[in-house]
Amino acid sequence: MFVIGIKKSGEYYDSVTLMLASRDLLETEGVDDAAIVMGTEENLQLLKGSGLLTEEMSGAGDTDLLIAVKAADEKLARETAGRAEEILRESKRKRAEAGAHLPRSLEGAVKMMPDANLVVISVAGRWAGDVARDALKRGLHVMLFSDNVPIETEKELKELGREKGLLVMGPDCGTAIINGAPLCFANVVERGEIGIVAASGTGLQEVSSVIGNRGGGISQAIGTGGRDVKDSIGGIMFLEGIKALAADEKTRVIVLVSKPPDAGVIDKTAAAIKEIDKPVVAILIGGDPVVLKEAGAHPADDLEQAGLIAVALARGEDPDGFREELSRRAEEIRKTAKAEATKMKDGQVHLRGLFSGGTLCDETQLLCRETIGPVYSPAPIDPAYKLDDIWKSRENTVVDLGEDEFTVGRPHPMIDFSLRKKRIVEEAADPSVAVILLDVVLGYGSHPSPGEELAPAIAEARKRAAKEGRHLTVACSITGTALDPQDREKVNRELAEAGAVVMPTNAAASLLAVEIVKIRRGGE
Amino acid sequence: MPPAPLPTIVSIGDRVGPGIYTLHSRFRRAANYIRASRIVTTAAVEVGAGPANILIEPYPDKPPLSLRISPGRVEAGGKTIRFPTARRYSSRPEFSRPDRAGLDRRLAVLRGEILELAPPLSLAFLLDRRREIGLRGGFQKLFAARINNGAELLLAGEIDKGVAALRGRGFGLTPSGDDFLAGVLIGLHLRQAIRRRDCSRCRDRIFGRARRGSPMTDHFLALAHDLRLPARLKDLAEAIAGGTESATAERAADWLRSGAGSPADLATGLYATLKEGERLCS
Repeated sequence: MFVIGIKKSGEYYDSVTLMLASRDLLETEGVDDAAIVMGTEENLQLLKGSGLLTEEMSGAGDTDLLIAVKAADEKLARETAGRAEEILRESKRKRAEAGAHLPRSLEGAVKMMPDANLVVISVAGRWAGDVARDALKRGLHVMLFSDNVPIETEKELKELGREKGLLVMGPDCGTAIINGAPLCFANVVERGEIGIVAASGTGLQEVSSVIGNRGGGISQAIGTGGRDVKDSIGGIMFLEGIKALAADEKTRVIVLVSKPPDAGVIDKTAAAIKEIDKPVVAILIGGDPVVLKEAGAHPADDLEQAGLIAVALARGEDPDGFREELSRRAEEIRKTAKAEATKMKDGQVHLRGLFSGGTLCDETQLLCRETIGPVYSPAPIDPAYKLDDIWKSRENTVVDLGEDEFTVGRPHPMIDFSLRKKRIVEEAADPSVAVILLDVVLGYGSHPSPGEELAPAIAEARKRAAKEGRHLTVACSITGTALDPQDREKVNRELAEAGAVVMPTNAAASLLAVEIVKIRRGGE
Repeated sequence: MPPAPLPTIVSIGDRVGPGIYTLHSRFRRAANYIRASRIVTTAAVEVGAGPANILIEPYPDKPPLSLRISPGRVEAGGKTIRFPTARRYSSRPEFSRPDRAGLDRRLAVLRGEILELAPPLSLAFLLDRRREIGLRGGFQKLFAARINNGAELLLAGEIDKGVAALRGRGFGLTPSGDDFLAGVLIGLHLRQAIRRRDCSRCRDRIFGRARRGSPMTDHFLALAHDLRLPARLKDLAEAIAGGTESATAERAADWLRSGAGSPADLATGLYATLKEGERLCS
């Protein structure tokens, strides 16, 4: 290991800038430790205690900035220390730019862009309602990214939006595609004839990606926030969204994506479907679509199917035409599962799913329930299978790392992979684990290089298992399109090179995982 | 070209004393000036009033290298700006009707706000150990261990050892450990007001041990020791002492949003002292 230290006088940064810059350096492969701190006597002691103190830092004082890097070799240490200086310069430049151009209020933003007709709001929940109300009064559609908005406020805003003919997407709405523009966490899909109304963020992402990858396109994708389909809100925006797409000349097919709506909302949705002369596809994850089917909708069993049915309908093709193709793929998956399972050691029988998308996690739980039985989770379908300790898996477990209890003090797992990487390696150490299932969500807002991030952890997990004579399958799905900024092919390649089995959708990856568990349990 | 508008002093803190000050450090919206061990800060209006703040509008792109402060006027860069006495900011909070009964509920609100709004790597890990998972590498882990140890010792009444483990440690111009200690000093004032218990000796001892001869940090700690607070923190302290839970939430959020890491570190020290400081000032 080589340690390099740099002392810079008269440079001041706030503590978070310095800590985040340190963390950035620590992400570099081959860098063992790094710190960027002011040169107080006590910080010098800490540097000494962690083996980062160098001669260059001697005589440093409170007003000196110290950069220390411990890396595998001198070249890497010097390059990383140089990058630290770049990161700090960049943070100064960004702040200066932000100070010059960013408005501080909705009023200021509207002055800067008087033609805007939609506002994305991401402020703390207790203020979000006031900003949204102000926006609606100004005639702006609202996308409310904020969560923790009181339910009464949500209802009031949505009633106001309906009265004014404006959309209120959210609260807790993270995904939408409006007039071809992906908003917040969304994938890049060509414009087309399929409109989506979704009370589920990653559900919308998975369906729109399947549509895009199948050659279809999106007219509008409207998120409503998960609570909209509960009776307390009454599906106000779900129904307004359906109405808007029904009236939209460019939309030929409508897809509805949601966790099971409350009974009252299902009835209202069925009534709305009956009034529409366009085909409607419905995927209610875990819900019984019989009422919507009776109303004339095409029910789908999973998110992938919903996208495939929609594309077929938009092209005027048989909506069941894809089934043979999926059946052939399922056979291929079973063969892969068998090939993987035969390499495993006795006792490897369990599945561990580590998700960043909540709806994808639910979808997997449902498939498991129907095939290998209920699985443990912090938010299980069957309450008897609630994990006692969310940090420790047992038997078959699937976890949505985007749930609130995992995101305390850290960014969402679609942005920050640190927790998931740690957990992948931990799960691999359990000799009962046969398969680890991961989702990788691409698109705007997500991590720019998920393949580069996850690949080392996957390789490490498999290597550790192999040391103990175990073959570990890591099954990954990719939600995203070739047009997404991350380059889907590159991500696919990076994951595969790390030893993962990469599947095009969560449904396919989940099927592979459960097939392996079935085989490992014996005789199935 | 129209002439540039003349700068105006919008607020001047009650701890800004006369004398000639020279530039110490400069940020985008503020600059610190020093005279012996005294510091004053010129700042843009959005930074907010403070005991040693001079809020200037419009705030200059390039702050001058020195300031001459006299009663009623500030001279800088060849310009003299006068200010009426009425613009003096009074930095001492009023705890006229402290309410002990609702303190636990207000503290729960404060804790919630800290955990929601504190940046990922701030000292809020002292309130929720799960946040330590975000710490990486030997340096950060050692840092967290020392801070944990220091906070435990201090709150157990081991003032000398606790302060020694906390002071000067961490990131930023006022290191995180010093921000925490400032929060402890303010928390002790609040304990005194709410529980009617004299904590002055404890404050003096902490302050005496925490000073390191660093002008910025010593100045910052001295203001906390004397309960001279910036406006947002003063509002928060008053709400914790005798306000409503919603006022506490709003003011805590306002304070936590006012800067990058320091507000969260200070608020963590303040919370810990009020919640668990029984043995610190008994």
